[in-house]
Amino acid sequence: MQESESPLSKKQLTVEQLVQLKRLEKPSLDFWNGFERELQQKQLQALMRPSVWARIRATLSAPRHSLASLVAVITGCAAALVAGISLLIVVDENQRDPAATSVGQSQASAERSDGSEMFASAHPGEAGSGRQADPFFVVDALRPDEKTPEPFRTVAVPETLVGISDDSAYYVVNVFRTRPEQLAGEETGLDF
Amino acid sequence: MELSGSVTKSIAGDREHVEEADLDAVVVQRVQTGDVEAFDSLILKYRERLFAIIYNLTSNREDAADLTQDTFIKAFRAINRFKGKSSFFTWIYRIAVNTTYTHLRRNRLRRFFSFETIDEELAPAEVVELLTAKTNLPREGAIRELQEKLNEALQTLSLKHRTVIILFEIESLSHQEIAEIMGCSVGTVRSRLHYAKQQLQAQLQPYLSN
Repeated sequence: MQESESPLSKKQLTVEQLVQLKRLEKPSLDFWNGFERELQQKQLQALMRPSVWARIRATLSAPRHSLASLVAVITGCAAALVAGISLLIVVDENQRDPAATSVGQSQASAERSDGSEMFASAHPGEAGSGRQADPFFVVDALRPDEKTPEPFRTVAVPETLVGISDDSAYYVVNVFRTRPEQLAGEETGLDF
Repeated sequence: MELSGSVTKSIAGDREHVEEADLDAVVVQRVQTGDVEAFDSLILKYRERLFAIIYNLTSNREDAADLTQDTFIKAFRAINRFKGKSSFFTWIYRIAVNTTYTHLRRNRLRRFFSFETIDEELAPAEVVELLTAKTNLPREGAIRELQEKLNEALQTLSLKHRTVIILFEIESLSHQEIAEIMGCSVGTVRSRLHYAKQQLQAQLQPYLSN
């Protein structure tokens, strides 16, 4: 017992020997018969199904339909982007003719004496606007460098704009437009 | 001695593969000219080897069967694009490995082992003796236990390390062939092999130490 054990105890298995035992993991003949049948079925199914490239070609081969859809999507995205940017930027624009704008709003901007710009809106209730502006609040335009406010106040009017383009893309935007209101005497202050 | 032995083995192996590649090229040409039945001979020739690679990568015989079939279907659909820049065997092995990688990545969270039966009678006697001595289990039990531990240990390796050790130790491919299949340099294959063996050694320590 000990004599037979001592040669074994000196020998060591190696990682290679253990990993190579995995060569013994093999399926039976029955497995391969089933494998062939399933492969034939898959080959027939593959014949009926077009290849990935064929599907891509089919999608691109309808240029009119796909181009119109692409234009509609791009127009919608661009419109949403412009509306989003307009919320963040205070611009100085000239008064527009109400009939000329696609959303039916005319805009006016007033330039202050110091050159800073103020964005002023058309009056609510004009033709083409999405809905009437009900509440409004007042924001005093105080220049940061000045201690005294301007002799007018800026009135912010919230409105919802709904625009419909020719491509049936539409968007809804909430904006705050401002207009100047002359103040009487010393009346100033921030009201919300 | 070891080095020259491995070099000799590598040269002999490469010679065999060159002859095999020439035979495959003739069959591929026949398939490309319209003899689709000729592809069946390629399936018969490579199905066991591809199944073995995929099974050892996945440790799941059902998945391995599906993926092997998918490999042949992809190879058949792409056969006209095969220009012969590499051997057919490298090309189809690459398809098999990439198909398996895609499957494993998609099913990362859903992993089940399903082991193939192991033919214990074919195990080297010396290895079995050492195993039974270390585990104090009967032959059948010792080998089954090792099979489980071995598959678990392989699954702890990354895909690339696992692939290298499978292709080298189990499939007996050369470093050059493995580099072509995996799209890396021979040096990278060697370093991955070295690291993989170190990791496996740590995992299988109970079976290796005295």
